[in-house]
Amino acid sequence: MTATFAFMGLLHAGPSYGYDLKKDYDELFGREKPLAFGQVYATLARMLRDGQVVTGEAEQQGGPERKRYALTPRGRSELVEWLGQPEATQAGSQAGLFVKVATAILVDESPNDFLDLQRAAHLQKMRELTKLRREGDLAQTLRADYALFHLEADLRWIDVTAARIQELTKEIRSC
Amino acid sequence: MLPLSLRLAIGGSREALSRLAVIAMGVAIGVAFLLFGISGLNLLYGSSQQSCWQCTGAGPQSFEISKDSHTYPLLWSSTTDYYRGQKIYRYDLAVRDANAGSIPGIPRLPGPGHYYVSPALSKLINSAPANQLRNRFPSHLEGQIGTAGLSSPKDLIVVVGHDPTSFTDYPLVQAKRHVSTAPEHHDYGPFVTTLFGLGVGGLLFAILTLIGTSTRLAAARRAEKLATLRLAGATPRQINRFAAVDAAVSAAVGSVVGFGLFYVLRTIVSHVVSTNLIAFFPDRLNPGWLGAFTVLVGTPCLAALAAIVSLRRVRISPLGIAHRTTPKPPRAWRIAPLAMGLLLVTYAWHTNRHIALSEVRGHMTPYFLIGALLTIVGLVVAGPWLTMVVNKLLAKRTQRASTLLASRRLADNPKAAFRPISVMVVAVFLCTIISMTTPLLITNSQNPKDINNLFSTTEYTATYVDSHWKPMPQTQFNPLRADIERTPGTRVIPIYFTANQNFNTSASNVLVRCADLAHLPTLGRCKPGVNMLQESVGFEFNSIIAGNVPPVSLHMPPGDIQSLVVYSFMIRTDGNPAHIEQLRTSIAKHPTELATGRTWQEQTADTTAAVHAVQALIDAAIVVVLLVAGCSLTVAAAGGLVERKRPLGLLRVSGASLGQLRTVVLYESAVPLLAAAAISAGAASLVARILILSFADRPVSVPPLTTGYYLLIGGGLAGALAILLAILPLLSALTRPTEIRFE
Amino acid sequence: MLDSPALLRARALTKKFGDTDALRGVDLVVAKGELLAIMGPSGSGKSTLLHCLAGILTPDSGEVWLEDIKLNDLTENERTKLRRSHYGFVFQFGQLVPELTAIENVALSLLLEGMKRDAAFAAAEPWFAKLGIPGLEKRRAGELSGGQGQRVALARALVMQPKVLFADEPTGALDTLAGEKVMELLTQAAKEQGTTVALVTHDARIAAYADREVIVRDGVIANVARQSHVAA
Repeated sequence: MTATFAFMGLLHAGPSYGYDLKKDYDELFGREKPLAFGQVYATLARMLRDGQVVTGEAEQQGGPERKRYALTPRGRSELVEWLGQPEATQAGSQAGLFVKVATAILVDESPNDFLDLQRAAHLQKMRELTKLRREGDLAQTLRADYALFHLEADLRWIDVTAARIQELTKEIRSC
Repeated sequence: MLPLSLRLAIGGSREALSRLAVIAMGVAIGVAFLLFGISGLNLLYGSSQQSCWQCTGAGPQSFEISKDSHTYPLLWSSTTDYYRGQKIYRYDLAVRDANAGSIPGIPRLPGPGHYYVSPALSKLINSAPANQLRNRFPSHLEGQIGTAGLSSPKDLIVVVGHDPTSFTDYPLVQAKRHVSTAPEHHDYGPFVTTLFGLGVGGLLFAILTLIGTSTRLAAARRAEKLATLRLAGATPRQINRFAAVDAAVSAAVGSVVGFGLFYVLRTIVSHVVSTNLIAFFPDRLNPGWLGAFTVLVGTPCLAALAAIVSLRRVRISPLGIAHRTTPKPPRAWRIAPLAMGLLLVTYAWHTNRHIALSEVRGHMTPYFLIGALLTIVGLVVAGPWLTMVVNKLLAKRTQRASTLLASRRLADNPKAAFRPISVMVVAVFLCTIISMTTPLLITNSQNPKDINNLFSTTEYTATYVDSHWKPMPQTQFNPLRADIERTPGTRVIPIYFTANQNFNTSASNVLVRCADLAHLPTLGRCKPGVNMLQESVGFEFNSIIAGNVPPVSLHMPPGDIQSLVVYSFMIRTDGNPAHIEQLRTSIAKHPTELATGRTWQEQTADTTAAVHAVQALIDAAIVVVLLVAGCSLTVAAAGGLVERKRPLGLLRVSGASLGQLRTVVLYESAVPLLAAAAISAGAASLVARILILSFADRPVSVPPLTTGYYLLIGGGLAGALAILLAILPLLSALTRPTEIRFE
Repeated sequence: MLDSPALLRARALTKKFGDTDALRGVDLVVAKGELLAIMGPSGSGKSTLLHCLAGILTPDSGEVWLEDIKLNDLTENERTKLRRSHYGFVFQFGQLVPELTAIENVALSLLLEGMKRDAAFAAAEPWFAKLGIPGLEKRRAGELSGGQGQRVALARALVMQPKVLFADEPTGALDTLAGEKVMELLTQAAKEQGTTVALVTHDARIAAYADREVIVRDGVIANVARQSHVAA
């Protein structure tokens, strides 16, 4: 879903070839995980079907990458509508961490060691991201900052959990 | 809110208590000074509880004796007498009817031929030979005047009773309803009043500055705790309230201590002042209920106000004093009064330079006076601006870090830097001028000896004869003259009036016989063929010495001389004090309106004593002012240290040595003090030079400033600097690296 | 970093304040040119550790070495002198003298060391452009914004070309963007001059600017294992 609107955003300034669309998407959003060609075609085909984009007259032969796509008025208005709504908040990203901590307590492994390990890993990642953000352009900085803030949030949770470990242990053990 | 504020104020931590103690001490000193000032005011100008019986003869004088002895039963005459330089107040009275009143301290008014004396005078009479003092009074000593009738233990007072029928012819007798019961009302004349007002006002301002700065220090030290309160959610208004209560508590403690200080020091101060200036009973030096109450209640209120005002410019954020808004810098117009004052004074000097000594130079006096006044005011007004300008320049040039820090701080807030020393500037100015001019007032050794020993009654005559004057025919005068001349070494020189002359001080002339004048050739010689000299009224010591107006010689037929009446007289004496007292006793035995007189030497000794007394007063005042300035500077510096605790402490962490910081702090306070004193003294000596050179009526040289002056000013400044050194331990403690909060 | 010699060494540091143990045996090595973050919860002793390394406090036991100088052996005066010439300090706030101009604040360290006025100002001047605040030289320090002020503080710390820069929560009083800018400038300038940096912070994103971190907890270093690769 997000890719659809990303393409719409990329087409907002003007029509673009399928090939260029994938290139631009990867540059902005897909640094770590480039979009698969199949996914690109599928998305574009769906957008055509839904009337959000149209293709140009020339070069009717050839694959979607050779086709020139343009945003329709319907597509434009849907894009604006999408931009007008907030993104749903994700509430489950630390689930993995929590499971590990709880498991550690149940298995009688020292959970503090794990938390220290996780903290070190987070900090290392944050170090790398910080280096990255300083070297890149604004888009890269934005991405890196996003990740950094989330990592920081994780770290905060880790600190609070470490402070609560006694209580937590008692509770988990008792049920 | 109030209990919380109180709890916060009293705190309990050692740091809070030491802060309380320091501020309370500053306030205590200030309050003690204030109480002395108010007590002094009360003593000199206040209405005492005592009734002023000596004032019976004062007020509008009417020498017409009413025949109604029932309404005006009391006949009263006040005169002054002397014994070896000490003044004796003499009151002669006669009672015509009952309800004449009573004098406090004596059981009843003395009857004819009886008299009462004060204890001090009694002692004096017993120690002196009878023909020099005792014989001035009638035969029956009834007793001593009790303390209720005296204003000081040193009073020399005598009350003599007379027979009412003969007393009406006594000189200067007034008919009164009764002995005055009105409370004492002092009138010291505009000059003294102005001087006293300036002195007290200036001292008060200095003291209030001290108190205000002390309480500001309280607010500054409180800032950290107040910041925490802000974090807790207190509004700025609540902060103000906390600060005000805190300041008020410290000031209240200081007030009480100050009262204690006052009562402890009172006896010493009373003794010192009684010895050198005016005598009084020590318990009369008290601030009174109203004064005491005002100070006790007013000081904490003032402190609270000062705390709130000082917080006005400081924004306390939860992180501490975040941004201190810069006060507005003083503007250049401030130099104008000083410049104008100096200009006027120079103009007066320049104009008078070309006028000969013998001519009148009074025209320039207003210019000079206004110029001098403008200079004094100008020094105070220009002070902050000069401080700013000089320090800005210094900051741009200096090589040393400590000087840079200090001069920038002084240039940043010059008004606050100058405030503690503003009164000192005026005091040093006045002290310098007075020290340079007073030696000229003491001129007695220049006269020839027989002038020094010349006894004259003329100085007193003029005061009496304005409103009422009974001419004294020679028949009345001759017995007195004979009695006086029985004293060895004396010759009387009468001064005459023509009998039918209408007395008018400005236009009348007096006459002296050449034969009499021959006894004292220094006064003048008659030309041959002349037997009288005519002088104008006002023929007094000053004009004799100055020789301003030459006398007119004339010849009078002997018959006309017989009809002349006596206006006053001079006596040539041999200078022996015993003889002088003997002739005074003779005069006392023949009461005339001429009262008594003094020799030229006695008069100048009196003036000298008065000058020395004023000098002593000025000396004491200047030392006090300098020490108060030192206290104010120290308190202000302490406040500044507390404000800058963090940057200075962090500087020390970064490697600035304690010595460098010490230099900064001392420079900020000591240099303005010394510089201002030097500039003020310099300006004052310039003005004094011009005063002496341009306005003297005889050729004089400017006397140099005595070692005494330098010792005094230098000593006072050294004392102030010594007080300032107390700031150093505080600096060391506040900037200790372990004191700095790092998180 | 593995090959860098050790610049700062702390061995078995203990420090007690009254009844509280602030440091209970800390060993630390800081390599030359390294940017070290010292993290930990409040009360962990991280500030005390910094003070001991900086020679502000003397530990109750243990040693602190700067290259071959043993700080414990120095007198108070000598340590002051050491701090002045070899160390630079940046604090959270409050180190600038408000009545001095920005350039005077920067030149202050040099003047305190005895440098002549013209030389000191000449050395201070280029820092303004370098730290992105050209034109603020003559502005009164009290009128600068938080971020500007911290840059001036940074300049003052680095103008002496210190061996070690001690930074105690340098961005604590700044908003996110200003803080990041200051950290960037700090790391850049320190790397250029070869200054070793010891940075105390509780903020992970600020600590992320460092080459490595030590976590102080309850008066000891919690992540000892991580340090072992640094040459002692």
